Amino acid sequence: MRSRDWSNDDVLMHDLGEVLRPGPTEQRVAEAATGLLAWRLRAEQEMAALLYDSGLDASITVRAGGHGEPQTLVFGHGPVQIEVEVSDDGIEGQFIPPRPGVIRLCTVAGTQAETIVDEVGCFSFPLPARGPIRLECATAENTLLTEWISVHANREG
Amino acid sequence: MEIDDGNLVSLVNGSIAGDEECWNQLVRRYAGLVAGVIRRYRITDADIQDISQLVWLRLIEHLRHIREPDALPGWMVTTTGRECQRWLRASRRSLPVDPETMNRLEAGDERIGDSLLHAERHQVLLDALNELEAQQRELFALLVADPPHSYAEISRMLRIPIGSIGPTRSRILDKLRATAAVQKYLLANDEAAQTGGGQHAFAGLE
Repeated sequence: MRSRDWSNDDVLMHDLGEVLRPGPTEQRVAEAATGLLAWRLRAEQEMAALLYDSGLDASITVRAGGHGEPQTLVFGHGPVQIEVEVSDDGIEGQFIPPRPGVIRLCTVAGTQAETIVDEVGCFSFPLPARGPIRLECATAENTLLTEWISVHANREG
Repeated sequence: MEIDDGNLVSLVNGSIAGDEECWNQLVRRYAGLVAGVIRRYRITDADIQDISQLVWLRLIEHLRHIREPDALPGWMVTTTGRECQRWLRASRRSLPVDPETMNRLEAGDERIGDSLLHAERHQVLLDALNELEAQQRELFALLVADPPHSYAEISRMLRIPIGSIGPTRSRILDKLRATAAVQKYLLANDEAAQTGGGQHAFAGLE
């Protein structure tokens, strides 16, 4: 790969223009980062990684006419798994194995809802308007955070 | 000031500690790279915000695991591409299946290399501009403005003689060419071209 011909004034000015004059997409991308650092992991928190996302499963998307089909997600941390199903009706989830605790639904704007896990580990939330979400699961042992995900329920109209 | 890997390490560590200024610098550094990947997909403005937020949140989750700063641009490209593909699949679910879309997706992947080279070039020029005096940077910001300013307007705004703008522009361009950042980049690329390499922008991508 040969470098750009920066001995040519026009080429160099063009490339400098791109650096000095961020385009509208770049500005939007940069603005989206504002305030997000507040969501960094705290010492007492642990991350539950995304193990499965039906939104990335090719065998499911091939199925035609999947309009409004629920999205299934599985998060894991050690022996603990959190299964979540997102549909137009809301978010249904299960903590496996079941254990008593409080689950919070967070968007980048803050905690949107909080609920108690029932005796079989189940919980549910209404669907937030849009944007990334994460679940915060506080048990007697620790606070487990899921990775951030985007919910893809049909929000047209 | 030359931004090097040492500086990147301090930006990463500062962000881990919650320093907003470090975070903002990190964002400025990679926003162009993320935007370059996003532009490959037909994404609406509102969705650009959602996808960007996810990418930045993933970066925040990833900060503690960065071992090799050189690998970060590649990681940003891969992560952004993955989120765009997820978005594409999700939006396709409410549309008839379109084989064209799959082709676009694959084309997007092949162009990741271009994106990294573009980002590398961007960083080199950013480093070079940082070696200029503030007043010289200001002049260049006006020279590349869109819509463009006339020399007469620039002369008025910066209170410099109109006849000095052209020569000053040439002098600063030469100064930029002579900066350590640009010299290092040109040398590395020409060597790579001669040895048939040139893949150094991919170092650490995997």
